[in-house]
Amino acid sequence: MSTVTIDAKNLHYTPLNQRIRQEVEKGAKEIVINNVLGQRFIGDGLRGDGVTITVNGVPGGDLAMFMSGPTIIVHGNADHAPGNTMDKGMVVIHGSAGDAVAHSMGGGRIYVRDNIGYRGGIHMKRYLEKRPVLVVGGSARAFLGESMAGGIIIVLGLNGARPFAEQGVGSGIHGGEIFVRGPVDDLCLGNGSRQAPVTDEQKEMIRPIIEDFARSFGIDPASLLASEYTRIAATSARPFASKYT
Amino acid sequence: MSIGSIPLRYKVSIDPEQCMLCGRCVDNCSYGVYRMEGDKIRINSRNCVACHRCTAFCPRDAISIHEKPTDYRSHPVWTRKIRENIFNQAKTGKIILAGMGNALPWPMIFDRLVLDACQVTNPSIDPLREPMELRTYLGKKPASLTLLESKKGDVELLTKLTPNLQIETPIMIGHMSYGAISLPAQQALARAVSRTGTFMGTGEGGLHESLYPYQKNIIVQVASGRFGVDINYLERGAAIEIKIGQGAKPGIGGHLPGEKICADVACTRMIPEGSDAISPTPHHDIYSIEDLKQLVRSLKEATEWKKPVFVKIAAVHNVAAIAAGVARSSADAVVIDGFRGGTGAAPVVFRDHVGIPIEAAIASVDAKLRSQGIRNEVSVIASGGIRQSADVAKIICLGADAVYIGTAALVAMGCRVCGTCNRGVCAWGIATQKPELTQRLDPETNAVQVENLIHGWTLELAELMGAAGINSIESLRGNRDRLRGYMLDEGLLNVLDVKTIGA
Amino acid sequence: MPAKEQELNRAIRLAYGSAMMNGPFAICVANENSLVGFTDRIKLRPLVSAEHGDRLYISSEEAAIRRIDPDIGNVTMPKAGEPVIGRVIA
Repeated sequence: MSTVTIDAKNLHYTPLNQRIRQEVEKGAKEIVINNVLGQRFIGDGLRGDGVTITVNGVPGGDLAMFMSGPTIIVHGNADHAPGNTMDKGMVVIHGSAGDAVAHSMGGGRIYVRDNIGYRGGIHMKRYLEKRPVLVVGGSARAFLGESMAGGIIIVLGLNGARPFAEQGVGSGIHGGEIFVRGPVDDLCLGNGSRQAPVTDEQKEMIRPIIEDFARSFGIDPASLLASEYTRIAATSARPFASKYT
Repeated sequence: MSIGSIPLRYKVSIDPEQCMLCGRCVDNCSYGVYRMEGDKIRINSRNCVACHRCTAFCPRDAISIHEKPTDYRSHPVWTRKIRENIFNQAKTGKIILAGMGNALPWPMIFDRLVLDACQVTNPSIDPLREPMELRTYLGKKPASLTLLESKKGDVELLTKLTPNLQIETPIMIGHMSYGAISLPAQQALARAVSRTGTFMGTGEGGLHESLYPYQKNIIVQVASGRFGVDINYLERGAAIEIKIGQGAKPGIGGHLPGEKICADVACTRMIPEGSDAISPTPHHDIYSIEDLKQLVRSLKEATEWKKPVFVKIAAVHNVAAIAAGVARSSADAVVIDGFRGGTGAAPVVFRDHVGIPIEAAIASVDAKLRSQGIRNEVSVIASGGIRQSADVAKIICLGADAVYIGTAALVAMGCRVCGTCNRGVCAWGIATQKPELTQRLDPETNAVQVENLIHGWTLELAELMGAAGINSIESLRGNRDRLRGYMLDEGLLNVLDVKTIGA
Repeated sequence: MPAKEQELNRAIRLAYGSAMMNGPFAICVANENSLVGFTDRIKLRPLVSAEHGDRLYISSEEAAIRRIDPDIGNVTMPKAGEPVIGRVIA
């Protein structure tokens, strides 16, 4: 089946999503949506392994929310919470994204070429083999990995950006790992998190992820793989245990 | 004596099945309840004050203490206490004295106020994840700031700030003098406050030299008796507090019976050993509100205007007007002690019947100062029956900047509130000067206990604030809208400036 | 933070702390010659700003700005609690 093209100009998100679902049901594997400008919930709750949707323009909030299977590629900036409670699949953003990226994500991958906003990866969770991954090429703002319960976040600080220089990274983290390329100031750490230089074993674990990220954006991974990384993780799986009697 | 003996207050019994005759009850009771006679422990229940030292140390839970073992004919008007007070005065012809705070069942306003939380329209903030700002500054605040911006863009602060105390939690430990309580008790409190970043008060007993290492966290009190007050004392305090009155006995001065004035207490207070330490009713150099300004300024001059000066008053009927006067006297904070405030010794008639509750006092003081545009001139510190973190949250909502706790800190050290502090035989080593009793109180373990209390309440306060969608304590202060009155009458709701539930 | 700046910040907190705003918000205020936009201190709400030539745009969503001006340059996210201020210079 050939590529399906949808013109989203002046189209409300409900008829847009209905159209996408219809095409997926009919067997489409490649869908291109043009003139996207602010439509929210694109790919919301969508299933379909092997389906790739290309979004040209600036989608609105909650892109790929509850999505379970497809791949969405965005040529433009994403807005609030792309990958919100996403379960399976892939989101690749050739641009930046807003706050709460990958909020409550339970599986799948999100790659953001440039920067993300506040509370990235908040409440990401892992269960058995379902392990969510968020990779950010540029920088992330405060409260990265807030209340993280599982999964992996990597921030690379490409093009001279400081990957993380605000407050509260891993605030309330009780599972999962955050990898920042370069050093992280102790003052930046959130409640319940601790930092350590990455071990060789851990570096090996994230290597294929960094390589895949680099491939998605046509970047040479060599310098990324050669760099030093800081790993931020929980001091305890039970951050509330010491509070209650 | 035609009245005869009055019934036992408590009946103490030992379960012979459980008792292992270790004798710890005999060793620990300082009131003379237990006596070892051969292989039997003899009990004199009449001496018991229910301080629980014996039950706390019995390894077998063998001891039972029952209150009011003998019933009077019950009567709502001629209560047991009323009858027994009359017996006492018929026998002695004197003023009845007791320790601790108000013991009458006046309705508790705190227990008729509920706090708010956020739902949907405003999200809650999780204190585990987001920073909660409980740091409080006590002292005079500028009405406005004047800044100068240079051509380069540098900003310079022109307004001179008056010294403030910085506390990391709005909970401080109130003034309990060395004399009223033991030295190890004060040492425990001093360690606790220096570790939690807050302050304690010396009370009117002076500052013992073993506390000098903690002076950065100690507020020195200047009371009407001027006990232990000299320039060395004033210079050591982080702040100075003028005590005009206290909630347990508004209108009268401090009272420390001679039994509690041992050599060391006498030395610290600079009075003769064994003599009663009575503080005069007023400061004899302050007979009016204008004179208060003189005393405040004299203390500031003595300490080169480097230290905040607080003024402590009892909560009485026109406390709002008095506080407004204090705010204009150059003082940096007004401490208001409500009618439930504790004491080592006070006439029961004052303790139970004079003064007003702290909730109403703080609400009216805060409202009055704001209406006169001078709320920034003084911080407002509340005390008198603060029992738990919910009380702290509520009193801050009613307008207080911070609280002093007294009784609660002693309970954290083991005090059971038996109310016999004035007798000076406290089995816990708290309200006594007898060496065999004070040595029971280890300053380090008790410091940790008090620290734990402050820490636990501070965590709860942070949770309450987060649930209300607030992350800085300034936004809780005076925020009447986060309270609702549950079965409070309209008049009181107006004074508190709080709406009723459902409104 | 250098000592002088600490003192200034402490003074501001002391004097004006009771006026702190709580809860989630992103606010935009304008008059005939200035425009100010800012969010709450913990960034509960979104705010973005962009410039194009002599124009400054502030919005909660980038798409809204692009609807008016498809050729805006860099879109930035102001720091939590820090205002974006634009003035008309005659």
